[in-house]
This record gives sequence, C-alpha cells and structure tokens, in this order.
Amino acid sequence: MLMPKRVKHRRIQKGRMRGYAYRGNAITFGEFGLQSLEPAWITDRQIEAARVAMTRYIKRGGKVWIKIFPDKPITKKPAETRMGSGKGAPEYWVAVVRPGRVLFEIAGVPEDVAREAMRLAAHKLPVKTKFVSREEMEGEAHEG
Amino acid sequence: METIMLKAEAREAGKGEAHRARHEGMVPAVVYGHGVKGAKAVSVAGKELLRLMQTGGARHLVELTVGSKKHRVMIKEIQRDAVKGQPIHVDFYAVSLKEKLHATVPLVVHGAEAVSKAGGIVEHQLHEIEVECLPADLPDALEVNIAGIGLGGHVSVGDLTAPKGVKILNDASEVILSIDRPRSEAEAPAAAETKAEPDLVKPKKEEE
Repeated sequence: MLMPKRVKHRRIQKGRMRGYAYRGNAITFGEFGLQSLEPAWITDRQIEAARVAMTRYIKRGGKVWIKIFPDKPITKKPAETRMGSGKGAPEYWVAVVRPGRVLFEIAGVPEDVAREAMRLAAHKLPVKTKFVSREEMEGEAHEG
Repeated sequence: METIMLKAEAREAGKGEAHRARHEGMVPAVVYGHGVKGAKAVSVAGKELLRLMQTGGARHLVELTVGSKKHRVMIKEIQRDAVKGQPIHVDFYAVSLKEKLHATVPLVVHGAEAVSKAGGIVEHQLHEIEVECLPADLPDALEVNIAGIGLGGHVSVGDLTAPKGVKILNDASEVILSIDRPRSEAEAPAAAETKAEPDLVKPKKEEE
C-alpha cells in the first residue's frame, strides 16, 4: 500500500476540499487518463485496487502512472472508547482529490483497451470519473 | 503557414467584466506584445474561438481585429475550466513578422503500428519541442519516423531534421521517445509491503 516514508507530523487536521484541482489537472505522461469529477478522500487501498484492476486488464504492454499519492493520515479511535484522552491512532492514508484531478494515466495501449482498463479502475474509486485523452485535453498554446 | 481571421471586442479590464463576457457567451482575452502598449483587454466569441481551436488555429498566426485595428497574434496561453475543459481566458501575443520568436511545436510520430506489431511499446518523453523561427516559418508539427527503430532503441532531438528557417532549441541529447520491451505481468511492480507507520522527521537542534 502507498504511504509516505517519513512525515513531519503523525496526525493532521481534517481540512476542507473546496474548489477545483488547479494542479495535476492535465495529462502529462501518458496518452489517456482518468479524471475525477468530484472531491473525495481516496484511500491507499482504493488506489491499489484500481491499479491492480488496470494492470490485470492490460496484461503485458502499456504503462500506468498513478498521479495521486495518499499523504494524509486519517486517525480513528478504538471501538467502545470514551471521548477525550487525545486524538486516535493513525489508521490509514488518503489522497485529497478535487474535481478535475487526473488520477491515473496510461500509455502504450489502444484507446479501447485504455478505456476499458479505466472503466474497471473507476469501479474501485469513490468518485465519479471521466475518461480523457491527451488530444482532447491538450491546451494548444504557443510560447511567445 | 496560413493566417486565420478572428474578431474581438474591446472590454474593460477586471474580473467583473470578464464574468459578464462569459455570461454572454464570450471568452475574455488579453492582447500584448509587439505594437501593443501594455495589455489590452478584449473578448472573443466563444463559438468562434472553439471553431478556431478545432481547426488547429491555436497553432497558427491569427489576424485579430479589435475595432478598426488589426493585430497579427498567436495564442500564447489558453486557460481552461478544470472539469469541463472549456476555455475561460486566452492570451494573444502580438508578433512582428520580422522578429524571430520562440514557440512550441507538437511532434507527430509515424510508424508506431510497425513498432507495436514487433512487440515494442513506444514511451514518449517529449510531446512538444521548442523552436525559434520567424512567425511565417513556424511549422504545424515536426515529424518523427520510428518505423526502422528496433526494441530498446530511442529517438533523440538530434535525430530530428528542422525545416528551413527553424532552429530547434532543445538539447540534442534529449530523448524524444524510446521503444521498450513489454513487461511481463510478473515483472509489474506489486504493492510493496510497507511498515505500519512512517518515521517522523526530527527537527534539527539549533546549534549554539
């Protein structure tokens, strides 16, 4: 499961997920991608399940990039514990995802294979998603 | 290189005006560069801009008419809605036809079918390349032929042939794409078993 190697603080606050993903909202490595349409916390297990679903479908060939990383620890208090006496123990890790974020990228496979692989991966995720391609997403721009 | 016509209307600068323009189906834009003092706030019809982008006009010289003035411009940046992908703001850069400019040109790969038939996977490192040329010489795309490259081979910037009047600015040793062997399922990186909790970054003690 994905998690940071070292952290500065063992527990962090919840935070809010307002607005859109202003970073990581473009296809940078592959040809096709899976874009989130909703804000959510995506857990390390969900990311791993989606990765396995994708790589099993494309078998050999192709390359998959995971563009989110679960770097936020989520704590939980043990069952049947009275309130108080400090924050609970870190239980799992999540990636904070805002609408527009490209979650996975894929290259080296035809579009129909990429689309099906992304569809299988999307079933493992807690967000509505959209299949996107570099062609349709690319901001055709010139440097002056 | 062909020139495409586009009409723009002058508008007041500011986000209120920009919101109003978007509400009316326009896309707020700004013109700056050669022959333009400062930056001029304009707006263009959203449908016309989309048509221009669909016909590849975002990589061409555009003759932008603002009132009675005409500017030769190139699209420098298109800001898009993060989810819908619609353009929300455009930067037009006014160019001089006599001055060289720096621009990015897409790379078009030929012969990928032959490589995939041979069992190779094309892995792109670069999708665009930076060039310096006169606006009239700016190519639509640079072509890369990979039909004769075997497994494990690669194409670098030095292998490209630039059209006349075009200078490639990227480092010649930079790899554009490589032909990799397909990985077997067993080779695919599995989820490594990690320890339960990560280490804490210890704050450095202040030295006296």
